[in-house]
Amino acid sequence: MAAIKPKARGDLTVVELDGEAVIYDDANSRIHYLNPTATLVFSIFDGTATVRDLAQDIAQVYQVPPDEVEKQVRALLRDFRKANLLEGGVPAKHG
Amino acid sequence: MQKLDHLGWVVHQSYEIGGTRFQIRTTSKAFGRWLGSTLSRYRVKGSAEPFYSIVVDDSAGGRKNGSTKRFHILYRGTSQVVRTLDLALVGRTLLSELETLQCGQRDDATYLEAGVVSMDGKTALVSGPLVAYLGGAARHAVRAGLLLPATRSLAIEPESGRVGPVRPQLTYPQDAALQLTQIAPTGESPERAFLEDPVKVDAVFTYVALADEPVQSVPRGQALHYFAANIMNFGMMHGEALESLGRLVQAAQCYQLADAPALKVVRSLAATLQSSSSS
Repeated sequence: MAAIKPKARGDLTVVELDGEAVIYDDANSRIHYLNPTATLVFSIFDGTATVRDLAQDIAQVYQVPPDEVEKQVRALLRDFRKANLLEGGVPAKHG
Repeated sequence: MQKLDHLGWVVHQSYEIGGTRFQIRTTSKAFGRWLGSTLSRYRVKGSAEPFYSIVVDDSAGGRKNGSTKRFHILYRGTSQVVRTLDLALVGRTLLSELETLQCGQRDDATYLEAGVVSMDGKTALVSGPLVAYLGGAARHAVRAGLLLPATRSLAIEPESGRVGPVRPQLTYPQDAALQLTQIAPTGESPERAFLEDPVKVDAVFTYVALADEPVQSVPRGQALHYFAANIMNFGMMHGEALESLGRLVQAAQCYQLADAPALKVVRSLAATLQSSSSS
């Protein structure tokens, strides 16, 4: 099965202040708060890379083990999905 | 409302504003006449649930218990909105409350259920429920040098993030509140302030049930999230409302107050705003 390239919904209003984000979802009349880690991950969910690729990028920048980062990114992916903040994933050739 | 039913209401009038039908009741025939004349355009026939209740002490001379203080009280439901010696303040606060009923349907600004507390030229934003809570310690606030807001709603300027008064949309005589000084004159200085012009907010205060410290700094994102829940017209302004509020919070220092007796909260607020003044 093709890996998913997560993408944040384009119709959300995102206001970022000092590394944290507050999101207004007009379609569902909901307000969300993201802590700095969640904000960082959410901001790179642009539909161009798989979770594994993104985790490797983050691991490289922050010099932390990629496996640990990937676990956290996947957990956040689940949270974002549950909160309905993502568009449908874009299939990729490998993951 | 049963809690207030014993207070001797002599006037009951029904109104409809912003699609909301409600009753205003008062203990004073003179205030009732003022009400009927000021809001005649919005008066409707039939009964409605009491929503605003106004106790007016228009007794001539001193009180039975020897006190010469003549307090007038405005209630929303069973919550005391304002208790004051100044009947004109009660009238103006009531009119401002009625303007708030329409904020959810307006698209000319972002409307926030909040108020501005001021001290030594510095201003702080507090949420609407906290405005009501602090009202219980209004005299302590005055002694601490804090001027509490007379209203629980305000408008955010979209570009600057400054806050200003809710521009009136209701139709009533401009001097309506002033007319009340004829029913009950007062020489007292104001305990509450109406926002007359847009102001920059220096600090914002969230209010939480549980916290380690009476007052502490919080990240701006957290403060934005807290106040976003107080936006009254998301349905009309959509994402722009959050962006306007974001500009306001971006320019302010952000603090969190812990739930405590009103007097303690007033002191924490005053001390923080004072230290923020000197920084």
